[in-house]
Amino acid sequence: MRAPLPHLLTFTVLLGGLSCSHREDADPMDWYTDVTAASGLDFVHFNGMSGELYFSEIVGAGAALFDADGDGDLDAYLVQGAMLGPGKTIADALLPPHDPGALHDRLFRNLWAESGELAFEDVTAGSGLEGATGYGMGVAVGDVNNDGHADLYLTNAGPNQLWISTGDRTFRRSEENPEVADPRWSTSAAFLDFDRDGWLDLYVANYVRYRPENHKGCLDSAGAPEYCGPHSFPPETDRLFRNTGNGRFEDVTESSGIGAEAGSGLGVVTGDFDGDGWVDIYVGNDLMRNLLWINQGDGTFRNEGLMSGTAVGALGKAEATMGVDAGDLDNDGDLDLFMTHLDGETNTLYLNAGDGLFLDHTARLGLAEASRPATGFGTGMIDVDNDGWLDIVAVNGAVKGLPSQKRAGEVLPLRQSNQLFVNGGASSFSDQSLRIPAFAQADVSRGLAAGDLDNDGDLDLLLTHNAAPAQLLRNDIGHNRPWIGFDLVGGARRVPQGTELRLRQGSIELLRRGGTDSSYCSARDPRVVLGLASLDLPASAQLEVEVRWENGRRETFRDLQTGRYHPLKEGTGAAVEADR
Amino acid sequence: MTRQLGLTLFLGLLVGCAQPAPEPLPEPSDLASLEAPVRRQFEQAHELLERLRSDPETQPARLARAFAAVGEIHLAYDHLETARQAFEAAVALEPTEPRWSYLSAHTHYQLGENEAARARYRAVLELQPNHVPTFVSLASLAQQEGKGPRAEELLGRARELDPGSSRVLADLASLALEGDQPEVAVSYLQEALIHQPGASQLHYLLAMAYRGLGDANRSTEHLAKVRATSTQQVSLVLEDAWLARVRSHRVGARVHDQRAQRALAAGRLEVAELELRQALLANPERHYAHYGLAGVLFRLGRSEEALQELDTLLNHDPRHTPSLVLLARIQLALGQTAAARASYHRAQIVGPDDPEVQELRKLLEQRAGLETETEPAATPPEAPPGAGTL
Repeated sequence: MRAPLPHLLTFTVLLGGLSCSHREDADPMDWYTDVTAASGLDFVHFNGMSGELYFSEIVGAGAALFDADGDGDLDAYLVQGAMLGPGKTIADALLPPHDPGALHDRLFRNLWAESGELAFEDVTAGSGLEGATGYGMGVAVGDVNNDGHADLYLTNAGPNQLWISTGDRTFRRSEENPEVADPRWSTSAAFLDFDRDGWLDLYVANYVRYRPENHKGCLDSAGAPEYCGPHSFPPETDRLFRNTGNGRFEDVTESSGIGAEAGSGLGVVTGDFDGDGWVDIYVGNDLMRNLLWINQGDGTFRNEGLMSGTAVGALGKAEATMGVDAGDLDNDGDLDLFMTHLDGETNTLYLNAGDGLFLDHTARLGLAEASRPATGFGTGMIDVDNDGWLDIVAVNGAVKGLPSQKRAGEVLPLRQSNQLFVNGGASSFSDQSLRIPAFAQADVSRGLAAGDLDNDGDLDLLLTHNAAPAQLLRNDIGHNRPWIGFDLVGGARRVPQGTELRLRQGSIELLRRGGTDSSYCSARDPRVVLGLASLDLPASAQLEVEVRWENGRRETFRDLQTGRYHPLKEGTGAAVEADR
Repeated sequence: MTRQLGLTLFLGLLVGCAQPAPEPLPEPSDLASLEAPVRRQFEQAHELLERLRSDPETQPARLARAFAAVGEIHLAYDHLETARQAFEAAVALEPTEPRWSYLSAHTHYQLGENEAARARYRAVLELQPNHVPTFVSLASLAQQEGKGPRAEELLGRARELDPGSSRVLADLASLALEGDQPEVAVSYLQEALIHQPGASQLHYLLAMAYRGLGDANRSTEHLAKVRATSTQQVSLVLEDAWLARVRSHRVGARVHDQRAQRALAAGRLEVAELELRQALLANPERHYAHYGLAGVLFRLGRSEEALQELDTLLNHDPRHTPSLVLLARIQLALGQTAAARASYHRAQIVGPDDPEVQELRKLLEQRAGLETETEPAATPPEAPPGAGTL
């Protein structure tokens, strides 16, 4: 007799045969290799926790991948914490610092360009960045004075800092910009040229009005001490700083309209979401409505979050957004949005209908179920296997103590494992985290920066973990497939923001966003890599791409060979019809 | 169906009888740090369970209830892993009771164990085929897995059983929107609005549906009715007596805090005060709760009482900047300008970059030349930033 399925399931459950697996069987091949130790990237984050459960100690910190010395490879910048709390000293730290004598951010030089090896040396000493000693949260990268060198904006739980590059791995702290030393608790920041004047402006996401001096003892639902959440403190207003030329900034928060909304901002990504040619700003807020600032083209912005369908989840509730990224996930020629959320919620994918109106397609595309048990922070839309479809990486770590880790007596019981969702084409994503063995290791992950560290045409990953060593994962899959890369040089800047690159091949159009913003408190490789595996191209293929620069000008570049990076300089391509 | 159910029950009973007594359940590791009323709940439930578990005469059904009672307490306080263990034990001991399967399913779901949750939910329907929350939960699981038609089928059954549930109608509308059928979504949502006109979520979904239909005016009209914060929003109705019972177990300061927050959002300051006092009674060690209470008392115009609350807190933590700022503001409102200046200086030392301290400085500069030590405040005090944040 064949028993009906419900009956069999009931029977199975009664016998205790419950299956809790969420992940698909893995291909035996690993897609990423942990090369942290081999590369010499020796950085351990210090969160300054002393048992008081200060809110800020579990929120940091991020990292950046950028070419600090102009030698053609990506260097790594890691943001450091500090001791927290009035009167607290290092002796009070529950997790003592790795190097108590050097509690500042770190710059690691990549030796790939000169040695062909993915190896790093700590070049912080003498760089000036020993002075980056705030309680660090995040880092944004952009060339604020158009000198061709990447500058750094550091966000802190306290006054932020702007560091100007001299181009030879040394930096000086900008003293001429007191405006940008925002004293609020800032998290992510993004450079963008919102007024198209050729100078990079700056958007800074601020979180809540919390400092250890206004700490309050929060409780979990049973009355035990627990970290506070964002609702325990008033939200802050984000800041928009306009670059008036040569890296001098003025605060235009109020005049631009940005000051009209307060929010608990954690993630920022910029892009032209409504297709009008002007760069817009999307801000992920923690347990408050997200903001979609649509650029009006006259120096002002209007929040279209609710109307666009990106302010709240599919059922109309505000969610706890942490990290955000924008990219064309369905290859239909516009920018979609992905964001990570608190456990109990799903991560959310909003698909753009092409006109700045979005719909939540998280469940339909298979991204809901696997993400619900985890609290996501850093994220990236990354074509990890170069098949031409953007995949999603989400790095996780809880914000409330996990019972099993608390029972085990862990000091920071927030560890969760990270996830890779592979885009199978137009229909669905699948959780293929097992393809990255390092993701099985649970950490309190926060930052994620993607970049091609060995210039082999695929994207490697730099992860940061709260109170733990940073982690470097080398991509071992993408370079085996056809690819083409672009180093976009807009005007004088080598770090362009807000550019869009399109490759059309037959009926397929691949759109990629150039720039360093997205994820959580982190900055990624500004270059664009296009995976071409799904295009079925001959080895000798010569490609044509169209670039829309941040000022709206469009140009095409022709006869481009696959398998290498191409520097594309604004003004050297063929202009496309009337510029917008 | 009857044959299936009979066989299931038989096998279940067989398993229940054949099994040894379930393993003991761990008490919370941080029991000592819990508030006294909560700690007592855990202790009493565990004590009763252990007594029954160690008594060979205890009937399986009685023991199942004791396991489930412990499970409910753990679930009420989000101790999900122990709750799961407790409900699984209850199911094994008394498989004919749908509540245990339902609560087990709910706990598995909360833990992200979807397959196990689904199996338990199905077991509930075998025992209680018309249980609406189970249909809704199974639909939610199906929807999360991208199985829209299956979710719609399950919600359709729930709607037949409970036509007035705005939650069921909203879920159906959400599925319709996901399937690019905004006109279908509108019909569900208009019906739901009849039952629950004040529900923010319904207005949001309607705005999205009208947007899909290209009707910008109606979309904007409904967006204007979406409330900004969760404390202002009304939850969608879904009668769920078993989970309501779990929630009713919650006691302690946090319960009162949440009620106070809702009261504050609704402008009911007296209720907020009452709840905050209850919270302090439940947990007198929460010194920072005096700040929230002081803010409410100040807004009620009872400045002297507010000062007493701040005094208590500042005795515990003399560097608490918000309290120093609030103290200065109250003193200023009472016309005690010199005292307000002194409080400001204390705040300025602790938090020189604090925007609230800077705002206080501006306020002092504005008022300093206008008021003397003896002049009372001319206007009722305004709440300082964050004074309503508990």
